Amino acid sequence: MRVINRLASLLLGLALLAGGLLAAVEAVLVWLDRAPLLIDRQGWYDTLTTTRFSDNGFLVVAIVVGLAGLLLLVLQLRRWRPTRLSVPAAQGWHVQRRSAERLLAGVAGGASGVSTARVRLRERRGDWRPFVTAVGDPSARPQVEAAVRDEVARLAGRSNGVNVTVVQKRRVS
Amino acid sequence: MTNAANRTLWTVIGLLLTVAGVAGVLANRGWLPGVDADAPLAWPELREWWQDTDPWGLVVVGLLGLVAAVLGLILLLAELRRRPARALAELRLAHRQPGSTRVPGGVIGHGLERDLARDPGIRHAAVAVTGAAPGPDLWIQLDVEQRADFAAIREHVDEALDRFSRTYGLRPRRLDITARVVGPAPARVR
Repeated sequence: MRVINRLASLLLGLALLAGGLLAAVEAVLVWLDRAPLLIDRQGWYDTLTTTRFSDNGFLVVAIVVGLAGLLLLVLQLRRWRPTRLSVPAAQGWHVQRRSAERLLAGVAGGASGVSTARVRLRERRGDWRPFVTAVGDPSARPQVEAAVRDEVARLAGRSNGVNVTVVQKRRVS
Repeated sequence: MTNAANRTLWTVIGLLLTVAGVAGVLANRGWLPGVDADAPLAWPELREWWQDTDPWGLVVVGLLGLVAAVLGLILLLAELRRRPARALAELRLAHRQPGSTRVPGGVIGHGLERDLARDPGIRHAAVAVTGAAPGPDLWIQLDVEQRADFAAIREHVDEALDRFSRTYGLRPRRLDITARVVGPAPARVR
């Protein structure tokens, strides 16, 4: 979301710059009584004077605008996943979340009987909480749990709970 | 612009769009006070008012366009420029008569980067020194090998910071270290 916001702000800046300059140029052209550059003045005038608030087209536009606004609000106000996690054992230290998740996924995926693994890290009350989803033999669960716990302890200085789900791989028959 | 500033900007835009959408629906249903649902969007009074403003209406539109263009330019530049905080420009070391020693702020950070990267577990170090002497803020980013001993790395960083403080006579007011674990990844995170 951070990257999307940055790109959207860049686009907004470009749109404001281009739109603002266009409005200024068009105003000068009206004042000079010259033909418009891009804006069809008569077309806009006709649309604004013939479209009524009660028209279905206006309702559709209003609903789309309102829903777009609501979507934006939800995306901005919901809780974002942090880019880094604090290291409980060392003040001022952080570990980039995605890089730690990648490392832990590698450790979990390397356990015997596991083909692939996915890890999500959360921070709760100053402790790291890994959520591991592994694909493989369910009996590998304790091994995955121990490997991830050790790795978290190595990275963060201490390790508490590890949440492991092992999904059995479906055989194609 | 910071992530927080971008988030605030888009929250405000989202709020404005939501309000505009709700107002539009209310106007369409005839529930918005003062707006006749059967009236056109540009009602006659508005047209007359616009004609009365001539030529100042055009001047205002032109000026508003320029203001929007300037705001767009400011936003573009703010997005393209990523300076976290004011960097420490120069450090004057303790005076020893005669003369004094001045060290550019960038050099201080580069020295610490080289010291940090001496550890084989640290692939790359980037240091930003901001604020003012004698208590600057230190922002350190480390690329740490995935098989490195993290406790030993932390000890190495502590020692490097100790040398840094003794060399320049600085006591960092704020210390912010971010380690990125690097190395070949056997599994993929989605």
